[in-house]
Amino acid sequence: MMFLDTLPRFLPARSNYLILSRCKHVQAARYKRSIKGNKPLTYEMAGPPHTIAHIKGWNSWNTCNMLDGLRPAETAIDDEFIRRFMTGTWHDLIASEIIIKRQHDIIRIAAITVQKISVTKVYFLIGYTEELLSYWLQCPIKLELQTVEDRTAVVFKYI
Amino acid sequence: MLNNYRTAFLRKSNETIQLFRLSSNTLEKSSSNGIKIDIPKYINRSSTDILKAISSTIQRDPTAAHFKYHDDPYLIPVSNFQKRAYALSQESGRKAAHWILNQHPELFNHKVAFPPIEKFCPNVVYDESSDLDENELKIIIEKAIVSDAIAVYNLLKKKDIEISSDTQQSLLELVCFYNNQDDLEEDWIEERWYTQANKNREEHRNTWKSNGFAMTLFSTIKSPNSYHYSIIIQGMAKYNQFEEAYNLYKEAKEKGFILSINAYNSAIKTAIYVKEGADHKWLHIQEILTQMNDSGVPMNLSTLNSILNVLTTMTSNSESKKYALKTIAEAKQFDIEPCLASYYYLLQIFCSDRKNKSTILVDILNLIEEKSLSIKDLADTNFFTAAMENCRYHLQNLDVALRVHSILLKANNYNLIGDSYRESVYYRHFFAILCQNESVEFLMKYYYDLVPHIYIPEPSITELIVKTLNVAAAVELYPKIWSDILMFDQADREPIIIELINGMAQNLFPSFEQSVKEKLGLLSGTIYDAIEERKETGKIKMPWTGTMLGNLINICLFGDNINKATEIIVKLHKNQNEIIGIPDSLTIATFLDYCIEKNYFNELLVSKIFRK
Repeated sequence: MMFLDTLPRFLPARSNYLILSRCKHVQAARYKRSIKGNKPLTYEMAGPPHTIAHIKGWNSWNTCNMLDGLRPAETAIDDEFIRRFMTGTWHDLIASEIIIKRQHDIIRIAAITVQKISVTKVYFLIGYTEELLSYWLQCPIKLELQTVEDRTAVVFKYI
Repeated sequence: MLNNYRTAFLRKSNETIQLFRLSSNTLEKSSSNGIKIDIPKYINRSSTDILKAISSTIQRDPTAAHFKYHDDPYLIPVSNFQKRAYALSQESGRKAAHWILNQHPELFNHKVAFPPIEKFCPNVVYDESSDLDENELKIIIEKAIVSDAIAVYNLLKKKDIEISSDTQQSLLELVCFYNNQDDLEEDWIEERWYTQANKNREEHRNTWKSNGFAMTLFSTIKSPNSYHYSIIIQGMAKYNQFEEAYNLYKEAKEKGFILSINAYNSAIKTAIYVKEGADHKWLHIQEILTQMNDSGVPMNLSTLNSILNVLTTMTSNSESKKYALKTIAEAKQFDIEPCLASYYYLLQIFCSDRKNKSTILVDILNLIEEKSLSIKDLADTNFFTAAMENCRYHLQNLDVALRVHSILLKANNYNLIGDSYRESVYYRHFFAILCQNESVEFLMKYYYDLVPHIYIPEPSITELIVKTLNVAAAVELYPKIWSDILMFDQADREPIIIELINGMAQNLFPSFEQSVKEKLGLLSGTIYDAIEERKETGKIKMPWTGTMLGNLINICLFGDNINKATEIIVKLHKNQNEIIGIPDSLTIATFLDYCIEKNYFNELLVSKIFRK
């Protein structure tokens, strides 16, 4: 909103209307209000994309898209693969976005899980995910999980 | 105009400053002219040296679990069972992934990493169709994969491909070292950590595969030379096939071979089973030593350890100590420094007799205190556990125990603790000694540091700790110890409960602050509830005794927990036939007095029924 507030100062009044009309149609990564106002959003979901680096962080941390960055396309595909693998392997357990952080040759995958299955099973899945993903991506993988009792713990607001 | 002047002025002043700096520098230099600068020699550093240096600045955080566990309250283990279960679960998950990798190798043929990392690739399967030669076999032997090596050797034989004697020999070395079977891979750290203890219990059991591949390979060698004999003797002795090993040794002797030093060491070890009686064993050792001398083979560290190992089996003989010292003296002449394994054997030799106390451990500690220790013998990992046990049962000396502990924590010495089993035995002894010490603060210092992340006390040790608290009347620690007992799942251990309740009842002093009193009253209520709950589920089979309930009533009254006290009184009354004995009449009198004093008439009426 701040962006929109400051716009008129820089732009002549004539084009004001045009820009605002375009902004109205932007809907990527913005959640629709439900009729009853009871749709739960996590903190990450609550912020629209332009708040990244202001009130929330990125979901993928890497340097591939910088100048002379390596494998940008492959990294995007790998990230999508990791996300799908995680949500599938940890079926109905992930309560947050999956954050993928790349440092040197290590990939760290962070997520919040629900305490729905026994701890030994959680550990089994941790070992399985780390090992299988590292066979697939051929680099060390580390899982950084946090657990919450139920999904309401990660709800930031209802819309 | 003015600006121009200003820049010129500035430039000028800068120059003067620089000049001044230069002159001051030259002044300093001339003053230090007399001192010669020694540039130290370049030290070659490995790529991880900086990381090691940084990590050496960090100390263990006693509030954090081991880093193999996930740092989340829900995922941190709190009992020995959980520690084991969680660590092994994770490893079993890794194994599942590994199984998938090897079950579907065709899916994992993509190459992403450069240079390729072999560990991430599926295992290669060797069969008839694969194109093999001797080099392939050499590579597999280098990687120490026993089953693959045997398979490839057999395939090569089938295809009539000639194998050089060198490769044959290294294959024999491999299969003898691993006893014809694949060893647990190094990747499965947790499995190794938790199963090594079982392996040690198999000590001195003959596990050598007598009709295994090693024997077949040995028999196919047409004219075995001294190397082949040495290898097979070592292999047999390693897996406790002592008789065969000794027979082969004699055979090699008859053929006039000079064996390798390690083969002689193995032959010395065979004395444990081949010979009976101290004298025969010693003669056997002497015989082999003279043969070594005749063949010009000097002894080494493992010769020393083998001899001492044999001596530990004949400790009932009074001569064994003398022999041990002789051996050590002999080793000194060869400039052989005893390692931890030698000291471990020495402890066994000198401290087997409980009557004649030997302070050899102190002498050993004097020797190793300043040294940086590293593993030199497989038995090295036994030392610290044995030393702590020695402190507990033999010397019964806390100071020595603390010295042992400080040596263990020094530098990288903790690597020598062995495995999970030895570690917990070590701490069991350590805490037992700490409990014998009078000061509770001292005990609790170590308790807070080590429990629960490094060590979780066994029930017997918990009992000792509770006893120590009782003796020292450390009332403020009861809530802490009770919550730990609950956490370690030891609340169903009868001796601990009895000890705790009795101790609490004995340590009720009117001088305590009101807050402490109240805490105790509440605590006794929770203890009562916890025991009742466990009795219902059948975890505790022990029946209530009158004295225990009486003690609980006393503590409740002491802490003004009248509700619980009344509940227990009712329980006493209702279940008279299940409760053994009766509480002290003084307890009942206290209860009545308390009720009258505080005007609790309902409670008084309840107890009146009881008195009828």
